[in-house]
Amino acid sequence: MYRPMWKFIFRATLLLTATLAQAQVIPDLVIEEEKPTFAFRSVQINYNALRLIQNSVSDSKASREFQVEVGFHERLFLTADAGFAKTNRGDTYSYQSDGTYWRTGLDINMAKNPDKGNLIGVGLRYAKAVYKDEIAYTRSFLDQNDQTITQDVALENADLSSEWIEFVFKMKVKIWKRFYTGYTMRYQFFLQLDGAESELQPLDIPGYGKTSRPNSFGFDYYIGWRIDL
Amino acid sequence: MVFLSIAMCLISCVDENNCGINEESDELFLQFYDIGTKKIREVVFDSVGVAFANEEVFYLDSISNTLLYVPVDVNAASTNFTFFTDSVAYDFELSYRVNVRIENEACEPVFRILGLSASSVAFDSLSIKVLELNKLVSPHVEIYF
Repeated sequence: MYRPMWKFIFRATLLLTATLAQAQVIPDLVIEEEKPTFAFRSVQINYNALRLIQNSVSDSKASREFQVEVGFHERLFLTADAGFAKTNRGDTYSYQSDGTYWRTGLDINMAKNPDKGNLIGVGLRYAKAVYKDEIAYTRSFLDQNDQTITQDVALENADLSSEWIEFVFKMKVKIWKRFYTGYTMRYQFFLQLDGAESELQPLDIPGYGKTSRPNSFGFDYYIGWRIDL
Repeated sequence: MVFLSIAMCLISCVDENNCGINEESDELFLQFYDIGTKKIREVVFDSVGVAFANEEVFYLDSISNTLLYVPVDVNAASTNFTFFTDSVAYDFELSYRVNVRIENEACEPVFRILGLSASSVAFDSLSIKVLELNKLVSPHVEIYF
C-alpha cells in the first residue's frame, strides 16, 4: 500500500528537482547571451552634411568628409574620418590652404539600448592633416616724401603636416530603416605643426581650423547608412 | 546640449578686429650720429637707393632728416641700402629672417623682420639696437660717420 505513495513522492521530488534545475539553467543561458562579445557587428558609412551646407553658402571654403564606423563590440566602435578642405581668405591679400586630413579613434556607446543602433557616447581621436598653403599680397610703403613703393609678396609652404588629438561627444539616432543621423562635438588639442620653417606662418589646417587656436572646438553633423553584419 | 555646442562653435569662430595694433614692423628706422662727438647729426642725402633681391631698386629722393625710415625686402633675406650724397655713396647690407602671419583675417598680413645683422658697411660704424624691427623702438640701427 505504501509502495505507490513512495513512488509518487520520489517521482514528484525528481520532477521538482529537474524543474528547479531547469529554472536555474535558463536564466544562466539568457545572461550568457547578453554578455558583450568582441565580434564585427555593424558598419556605418556617414557623410558630413554640415560641410555640404557650408560649401553652398560660402565661396571661400570647400570641403568634403566621410566617416566609417565599425562596431566590434556592443558598446565599442572603431571610427575613421577622411576628408579634404580648401580655404581662401582675405580681401586685400589672397591666402589659400589646400589639403587632406584623416582621423581615427575609438567611440564608447553609453546609450541604454545600444542594440538598436542609437548612440550617445564619447570617443578619442588621433588626427593628421597634409596640406600646402600660399599667400599673395601687394605691400605698399610710404616714404618721408610721400612717395609710395609697392612690392608683390608671394610665399608658400609646399609640404606641411599637422597632428592633433580630439575628444569627441557624439549622438546618433535611427531615422528610417538603416538610415541614421547625428552630430559630433569635438574638442581639439595637442596641436603639432610640422614643415612650417619657411617665412609664411600657416593659418588654416584642413580638418582643424585656424592655427592661431592651440585648442579648438568643432561641430559636425552626419547622415549615415548602417549595415548589420 | 545642442545649444551649448552651437554656442561654443560660434564663440570659437569669432575674431576680434584689432588691425594695426601689432608692434612688428617691416620698416627700418635709421638714425645718424657724428663719429667724433657721438651726437645725432642731421644728414642730407641726395637720394637713398633700396635694392631688392629681384634687382629692383627704389630711390627715395632728397631726404633731409636725423631719422630715416626705409623699407626692407620681405621676399628675400637681405636688403642693400645705398645713401648718396653729392660726392660719396655709402652703402650697407642688412640681413634678417622674415616671418609672415595673418593674425586677423580682416587685417593686413603681419611681417616680422628678425635676426638682424649688417655687412658690407661703408660707414665708419654701425650699431644694431634691436633683435627685430619694432614700431615701438626707434632707431633700429645707429649709423656713425
